[in-house]
Amino acid sequence: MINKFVNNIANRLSLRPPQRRSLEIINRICEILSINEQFDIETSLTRINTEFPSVTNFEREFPSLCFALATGVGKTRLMGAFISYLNLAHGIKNFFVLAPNLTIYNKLINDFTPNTPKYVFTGISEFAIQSPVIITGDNYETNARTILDPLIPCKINIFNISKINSEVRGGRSPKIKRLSEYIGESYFDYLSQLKDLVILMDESHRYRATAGLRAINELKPLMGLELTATPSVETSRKPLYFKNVIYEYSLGKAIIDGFVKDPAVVTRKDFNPASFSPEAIERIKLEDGIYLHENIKAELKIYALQTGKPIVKPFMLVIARDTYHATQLLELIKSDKFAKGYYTDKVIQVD
Amino acid sequence: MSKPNTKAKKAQIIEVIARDYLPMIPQLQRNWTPEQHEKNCLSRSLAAFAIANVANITPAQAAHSIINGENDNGIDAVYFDRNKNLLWLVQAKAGNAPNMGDNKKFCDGIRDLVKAKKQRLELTWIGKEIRPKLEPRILLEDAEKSYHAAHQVSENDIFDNRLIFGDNLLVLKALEQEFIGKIKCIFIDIPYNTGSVFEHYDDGVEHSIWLSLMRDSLEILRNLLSEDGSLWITIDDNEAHYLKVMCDEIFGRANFVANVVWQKKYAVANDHKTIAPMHDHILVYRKSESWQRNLLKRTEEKNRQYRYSDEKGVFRIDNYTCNKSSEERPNLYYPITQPNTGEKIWPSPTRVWAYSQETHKQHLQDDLIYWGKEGLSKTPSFKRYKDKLKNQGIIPQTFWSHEYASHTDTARKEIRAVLGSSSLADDFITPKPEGLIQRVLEIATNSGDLVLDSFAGSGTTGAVAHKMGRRWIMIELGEHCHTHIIPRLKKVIDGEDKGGITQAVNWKDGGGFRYYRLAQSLLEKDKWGNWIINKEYNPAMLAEALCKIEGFTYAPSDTFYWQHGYSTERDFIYVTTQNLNHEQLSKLADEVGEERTLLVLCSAFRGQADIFSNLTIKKIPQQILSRCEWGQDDYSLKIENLPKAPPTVEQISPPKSLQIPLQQSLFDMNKL
Repeated sequence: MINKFVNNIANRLSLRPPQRRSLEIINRICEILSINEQFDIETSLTRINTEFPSVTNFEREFPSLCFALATGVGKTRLMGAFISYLNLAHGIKNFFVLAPNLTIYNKLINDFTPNTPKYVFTGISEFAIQSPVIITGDNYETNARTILDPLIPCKINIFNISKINSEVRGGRSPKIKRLSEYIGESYFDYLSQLKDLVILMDESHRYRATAGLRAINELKPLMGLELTATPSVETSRKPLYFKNVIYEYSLGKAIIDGFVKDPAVVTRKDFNPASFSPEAIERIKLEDGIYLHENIKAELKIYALQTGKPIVKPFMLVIARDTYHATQLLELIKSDKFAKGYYTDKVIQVD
Repeated sequence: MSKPNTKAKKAQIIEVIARDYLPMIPQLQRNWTPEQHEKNCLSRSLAAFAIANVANITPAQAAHSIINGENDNGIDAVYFDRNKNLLWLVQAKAGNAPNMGDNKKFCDGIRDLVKAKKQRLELTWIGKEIRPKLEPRILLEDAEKSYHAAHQVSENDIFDNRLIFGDNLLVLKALEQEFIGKIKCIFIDIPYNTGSVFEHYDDGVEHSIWLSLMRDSLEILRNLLSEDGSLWITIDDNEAHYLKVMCDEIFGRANFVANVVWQKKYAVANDHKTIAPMHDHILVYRKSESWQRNLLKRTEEKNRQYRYSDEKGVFRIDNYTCNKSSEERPNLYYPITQPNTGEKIWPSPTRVWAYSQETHKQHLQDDLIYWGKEGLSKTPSFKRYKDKLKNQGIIPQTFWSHEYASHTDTARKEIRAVLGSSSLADDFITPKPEGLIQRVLEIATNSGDLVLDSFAGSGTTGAVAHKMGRRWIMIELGEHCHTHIIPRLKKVIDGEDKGGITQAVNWKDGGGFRYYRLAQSLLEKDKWGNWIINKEYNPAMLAEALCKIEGFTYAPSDTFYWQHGYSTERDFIYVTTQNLNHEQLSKLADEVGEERTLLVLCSAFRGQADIFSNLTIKKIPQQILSRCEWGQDDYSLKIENLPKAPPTVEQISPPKSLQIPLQQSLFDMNKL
């Protein structure tokens, strides 16, 4: 039988098959763990492992499951679906969404704000009359009223991990752990006493080992839901694959199913790599990339002018072997020798 | 005890509680089936029965100890025996025995109570936790009352302004979906909670009720504000300080901008018994840090100070000394040479030069020192050039004199001038002059920004916004919406209103507004007391209203009869009063197809609801009954409509009323 909550939410939010499947899995997990009855972590793991053998370890001090979905499949909307489902079907009121950086943090806040183009709860009727309240890393201190209001049916905290990192690091008691006179205790203490806190981790591979995420354990959440396209962490030797992946929808599948654009490979006619040094090949690759990038930029501009739509700025990603290589590339691209220094102030390095 | 006996006993107990307790237990507001409701009421009746027996109280008292099910942590009844200083907490399950989950919830609930409520900094009042569940209604345009200029005057004419007739809170709720995060500036002249409002009310809770009503308004108003928006509230001394604390709670203390003091009177009332009030307050809050105030235009008076000029531009002269003695600042006490006479000039020992010798040298080089018209003066002055001003405008300040922002007397005259009749103009006890609102809009808005006033009164905010080229929305419930606001704005649009700020902002004419009224409640009770769809609703209204309640965008399709609106590009809504059978549903499912999904709202349907995966079928009105309060038309400050606050409070939030006794009873519980 189709669960009526799953079907209703999937239909209202027009979930794609992999998103719908993820929601069905959550529904099954809630049946297995009977969400209001808490087991010890070993029991929870055994129960889940029996049915989902890929989950061999939660890798945290609370049940945490990873949904590995290729980029472009729609992770933000899936988070909206998870929250809708847990709230409507199981009465979970408190959510904590973690963002890996400022850009995603701002995007998440935007997409969870009503009356914005990508609002994630459009069509969820329970939220149409009273939309979930958003509490962010920037306003929790002035939000005691909503934080403590028992009549608000759904509260979603959105925090940037670096905020948590910086707040829990250092000798002095961090702000979030300091007594707030408007709450009557620290916000952290308040959160850790909630019996129904569910944590959603966006791009969870980005902060598996940070101080902030260790602090998350202290929040004693009911459950953790991780979303990422790359379910592994880089170590000095080799990538370590997550042990709590419950569902994987790879880029390959996404391309076949048409959710992600086909990548195109650019080649050169009559090109013999053997006749070039590795440095020269690297340089040719970069220049070919720039050539395409500039072409796309022009096309986008023409499109915007013809349709009256806003101009979209393209960007180019260069993947480096390691941070040392990245720094070398950065220096090259910034230098006057590369495209006459046109990209000097247009390139950044992300490690 | 043998089995049949237990069964019989159980049946007997159920019979007793169903007879003596069940009728007194109110149903919870939940989206439940009648069976679920019955089971729940029976459980809570059992709790009442238990408490009546153990605490030895009457069934009525026991029924009163039943709590409302909101965040109760599994506790069904609370009773405090004052004589014995004993607290009774009951969790009851009629039917199945409680499971581990139920037990855990109950234990957690008790633990929470033991911890009691943490002390914190807050403003509390009677009934603070009671809040209306407002029905999001649709707005109906009345073209006959809408008005616009006969011709387009300029490109900047604004026609999409809105005047909405209806209850303040309900209209705000109605606006929420479309305008959340869209309003740049809200100016409200809220009821002052003095005089006529509470004249016939002597219940001792008028301040609490006032606070509750303001809170409900302010929470929606805050939602409507854009991130860079601000709220301006006028208020007198009676409630200003309570309102400030409440607003701090709603907006966050960091978002308090200022308390502007507006000198509303220019003459003291000579017969005042104590200290005569001369001002009102304007509390200013921003939605977030993104708000930025505008600078005010430099006044003529300020500009007149720049009456000197040389080849570098116009300047004013400034004192070259500062208020320190030569003992305090020996380094600033030195002789300056008059360049034209060669005379050495010392400052008086009680004042020294304002600049060090080094800076002075630089000033000499840059020709920044003024020595009088002929250049022979013995007192140097500093040249302050106008184009070097850091701020091209003036920083707004918290004291607004009546010369700057006008006063109440002018406000009366303005209304009289527009409406011609003095009796109508006297309807307003605390009218606000156009000049006051002009100042607010100068600081808080720019041309084309959206301004909202949800207590429109005589329509001053709209008139000023219109004249200043801002878009506006006004809400008014009183009949003066028709007798005052419409005629006033027609005159503004037609260019016949020469008063107020018309001259100051150089207003001519043009633009227009649409008039809306709030639709009736979607549901009404029939003669048997059942909720049914309001007969006033035609199919189009019904579809629009349900789109609103379900969070869909209303957009009826010409091609598909079943598309009344959408949530995403592929999800649609179909509203019908029909009774759909299996065949119809199956046909619908086929038409919708695999790529699309449909939410079907119908009066009834036959067949299984969940066999078509692309359809979600809901029965109206059953499925929406618990969403909000229906058939409630008036949330305004009218006493007869107010909830009887005190008794309800005690029932709804026992933890609060029990706070003190609980502290004592702790020990009893620990001993157990």
